[in-house]
Amino acid sequence: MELAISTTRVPGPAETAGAQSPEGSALSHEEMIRIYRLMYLSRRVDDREILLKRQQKIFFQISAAGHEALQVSAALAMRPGYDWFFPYYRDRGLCLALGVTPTEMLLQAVGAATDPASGGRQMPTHWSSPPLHIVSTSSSTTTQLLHAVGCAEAGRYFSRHPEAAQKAEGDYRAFREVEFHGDEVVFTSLGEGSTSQGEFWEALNTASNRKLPVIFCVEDNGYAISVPVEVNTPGKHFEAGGELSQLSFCRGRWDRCRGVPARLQRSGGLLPQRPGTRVCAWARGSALLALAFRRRQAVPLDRRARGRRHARPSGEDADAPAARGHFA
Amino acid sequence: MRDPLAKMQMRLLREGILLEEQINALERELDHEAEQAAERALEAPLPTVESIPRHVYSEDIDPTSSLFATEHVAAPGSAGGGKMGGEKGSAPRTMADLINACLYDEMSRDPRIVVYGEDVADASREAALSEVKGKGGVFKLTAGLQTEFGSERVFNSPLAEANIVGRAVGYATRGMKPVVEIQFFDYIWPAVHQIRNELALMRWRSNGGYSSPAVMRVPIGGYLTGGAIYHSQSGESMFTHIPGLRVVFPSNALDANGLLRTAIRCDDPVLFLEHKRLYRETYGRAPYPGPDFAIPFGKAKIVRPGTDITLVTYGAIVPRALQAAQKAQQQGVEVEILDLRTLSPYDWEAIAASVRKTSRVIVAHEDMLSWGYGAEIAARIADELFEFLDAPVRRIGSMDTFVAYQPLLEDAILPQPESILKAVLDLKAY
Repeated sequence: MELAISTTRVPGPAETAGAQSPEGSALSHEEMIRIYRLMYLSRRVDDREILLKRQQKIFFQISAAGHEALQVSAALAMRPGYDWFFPYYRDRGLCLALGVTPTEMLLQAVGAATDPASGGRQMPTHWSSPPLHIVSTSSSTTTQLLHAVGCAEAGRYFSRHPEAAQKAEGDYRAFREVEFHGDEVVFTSLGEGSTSQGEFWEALNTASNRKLPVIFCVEDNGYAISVPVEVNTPGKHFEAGGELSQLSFCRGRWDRCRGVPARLQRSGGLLPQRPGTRVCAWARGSALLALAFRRRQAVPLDRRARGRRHARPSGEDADAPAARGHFA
Repeated sequence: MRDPLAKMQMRLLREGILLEEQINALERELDHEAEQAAERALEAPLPTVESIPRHVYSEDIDPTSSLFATEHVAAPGSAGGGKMGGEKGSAPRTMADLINACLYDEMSRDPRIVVYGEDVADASREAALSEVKGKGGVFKLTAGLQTEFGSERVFNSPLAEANIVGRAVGYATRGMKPVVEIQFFDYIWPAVHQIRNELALMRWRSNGGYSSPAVMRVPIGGYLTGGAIYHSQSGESMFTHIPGLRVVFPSNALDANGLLRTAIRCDDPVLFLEHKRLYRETYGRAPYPGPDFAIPFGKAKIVRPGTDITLVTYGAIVPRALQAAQKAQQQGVEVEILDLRTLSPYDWEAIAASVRKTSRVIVAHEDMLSWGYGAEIAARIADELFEFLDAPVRRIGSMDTFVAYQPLLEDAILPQPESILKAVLDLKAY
């Protein structure tokens, strides 16, 4: 995939100019203190909300505790009001560092009319700030990733066709301000648990296929709400390619695919076809992607069904005892 | 300690960036800041109950307004300019032709429009365009658009409906106008999460800060003879139940052209339902009305005046109701047929005016009877027009099943002119 995982934008010379970096560190003392300020403030706003929640002065609370370092540093690598942001509900440190104030956050928590993100409609930490380019946050997980993809496509389109950004009378364009920059970047974030959602993969698919400037920031605290990572994801991380090798991908002739048990190769296995033919008749002549489960516990046959299969007399099956090891 | 706060504090101390008392002072300052912020927030004014409906829809453009009432201004067939301008324009055109013409004319006028979906491009590989006729949609509704406007504006999407609508939200929040296609209504369901929780909600949940006025064109409905379960579904009431979304369902070529133009030019997200059976019917063809012909939302059309019974309907039931009405006339019953044209918003004034006149009303649709679109209309008539009624409010809909493949079954499942006629005569005799 044309996709860089876990890389952040390197600040250009203009952005780092004036920052006095101490020997051996990329960050100046001022920057280090600024990061600590934002991290600490994020935690304190969380604490304040928890207190208000206990006093029943606010009605919901979502904490960013533990996420602050990643969030603040991510925000400081970006340009609020220039780049575009599709965060999720745990991104307090990110939004604080982008320029949302503690007062604005707490106005949303109390459901104030003057809550600039939603006017009292959304629960706390559901960000929205047109001046900062933080796009309204949902409580649904990973829907925002596809918005980020569309946003990047729109930015690219306007950069190539700036005339399209002109206002026009007589339709929606009269009310739609357009801003764009040729080097704008779209940032979107999600929790690790949300990588199980299909739309996560849909967004990666299109962003990489169209080579869009989108950063997907996966914040991994080890849990999806309460469910630990191993329930959601093979291995410890979704991006651990080695763990995904429990699936073997191959294209071409079924009987030459590595990882396909010999018994299946010879008998045609689950598919009614002879050795040496293409796996699917309807895919004849086209490239074919076949998946085979290599690990025994990944085989989607229960014991009873397996028994029936083995009980059925078959010349092909009978001479493939070694291959049965894949299923036993 | 895995807490990043503690780690960062240790690092500041270890590297001599801050002394302990400096950190303490900094933290006290920030504690105070958070406390002050909470106090300010607790004193802030609360929203008024009157503010609730604000930003469900655009506060700037009202698609029911006279801005889009060019229906009687543009003279069909005589329009100069546009895709079918000039002599060719006067011949009757199908709904498919006039939807295609509207897309063409609007794309010529508005460079912010992009069209994408499954198979909508003429050819993904541009080099082939000189050799092949091109696809342009499985029903050819987008034919020629890529050839005319290029692959940046008209392109194929992955086979993933949530992807199509989710990206449209992103495009539209930036001020573009995605006019996307879901290939069949039957396959819209993966996108419904995006439609309901994101697309239709963006403006209200951000209190007007953001909005995503995209247009989704979706072929819908049965009467295809063999369309079966997954190419015949209706289900519009699931979408009229979504605040923030406009739902349009034209029954003829001219309405489709004018309503699609309003859908594109307005500032709200629109689900534009196109009945597959009506795409190329002889019924409802019309001359090309020119590139600025628009019809406002929420304006029903009396497609047949009558005095005895009001029949409220839309979509493919309109021609079937007309057939039934002709037969009813032979038996002395005059049916007034109202084509709603848009389902959200809908024209309550027109319904009420007709019911006050006839005192008998049927609400008919192709979708399943139970929990269908007619239930809401019937309930409101019973509620608000009770004293004008001489008979109970009747509904016609399909059986509460999916649509079967075998034509014998399909015919029995979907409402037919005969079943509409029977309901009309029964109600007249009540």
